[in-house]
Amino acid sequence: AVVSTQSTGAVVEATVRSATGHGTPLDKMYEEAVRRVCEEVILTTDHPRTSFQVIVQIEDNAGSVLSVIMNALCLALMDAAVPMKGMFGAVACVQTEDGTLQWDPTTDEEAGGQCSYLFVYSGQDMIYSHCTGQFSVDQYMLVLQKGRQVAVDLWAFFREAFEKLLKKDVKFQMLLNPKSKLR
Amino acid sequence: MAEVQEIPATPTMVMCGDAFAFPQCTELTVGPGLRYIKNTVNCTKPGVLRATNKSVWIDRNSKRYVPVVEERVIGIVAGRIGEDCRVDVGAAHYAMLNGVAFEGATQRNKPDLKIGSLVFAKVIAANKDVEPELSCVNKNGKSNGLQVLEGGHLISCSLGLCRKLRQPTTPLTAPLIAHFKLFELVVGMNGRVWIHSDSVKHTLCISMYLGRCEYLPEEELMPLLKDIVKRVESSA
Repeated sequence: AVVSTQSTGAVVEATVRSATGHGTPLDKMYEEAVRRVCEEVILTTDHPRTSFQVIVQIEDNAGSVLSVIMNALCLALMDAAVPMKGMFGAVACVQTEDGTLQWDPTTDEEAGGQCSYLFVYSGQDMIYSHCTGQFSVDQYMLVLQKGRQVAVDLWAFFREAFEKLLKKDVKFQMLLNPKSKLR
Repeated sequence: MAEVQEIPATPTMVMCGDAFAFPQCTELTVGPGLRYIKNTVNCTKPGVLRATNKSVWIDRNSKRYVPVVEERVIGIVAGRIGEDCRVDVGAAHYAMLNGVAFEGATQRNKPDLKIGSLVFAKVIAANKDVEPELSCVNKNGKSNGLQVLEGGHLISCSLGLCRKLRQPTTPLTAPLIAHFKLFELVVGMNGRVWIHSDSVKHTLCISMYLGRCEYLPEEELMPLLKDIVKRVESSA
């Protein structure tokens, strides 16, 4: 587990476990990523002297693992009603030698790419990035800009998913129904 | 969301980070799930934004209890420190309950709170930096139903279910009232319900019913209860 070092508010502890095998340094890197994003997004000052324990269990890895972890994390935090500054979403991209961008790469596409980008966006900002390989500043800025649009689409999906979850409850069905009397 | 809209008059679904205009002249109280920053109100939780002419808040079901002053909760006594009891209310910290904070209690004559006893108490102090405090009396020394709960059965449920059960006109308890002659429900705002009835089977039926009734529409509640009662009776 990786523990945060801030003292003015809740502490975030992150644990990431792979599907099989012992923990590797890659899991440690994912833990650090999860911890940093959580600390950025969760309103830790609302809950001093407590800890938020985030546990990620990777069941199946078909590529873009860290971006999948981040998106699942956002949905999990929303589901748990953890107070957050805003939603966040991760976008992964791989750039091949001829310059084409492959979004949400599979494991084969990741292996075949020249460089890879992972950006986590929250609102107007980019709050976490992990990029490997060689690329120019222009290429980086292009992916950063295009990725933000992908994140916006992701948030629309989160919204739909959350609305479905809310509407399982009769009370919220009635509240959100434009014809109901409760409004 | 970059644009800052007015607080909508009808309930609307909102996500974390959505901002609404909240000029300084507004007299609305900012409720749970919202943060006030520079003339706007930001949503910190996804849910349904509701507004009355007195307050605005995010309606959302969750399971984790955060103590709020004036809320009535069911706590489990976890230990004693001198005169005070440490009570587990399901929050991040234990709450403190003074041993003498009961109706008619004095130093010599106070309820015996053993570890594991259940107490229905009111939160009188709930600062995020300090442990919350409970009491079983109000300022006039009257308990108004707050007391140690003897016997019975405690179940955990979501905070939303507790809020629904506490409403005076809830359809959720109507099947129970129609079916069972003698039972008592004490609903804490911290996701705990205490059930007490005249037989173990009835308590079991009520607890199974409460576990499943939350998301059902009104017409399915009575059939649910009848199904549970039939299964419990036949399995004896």
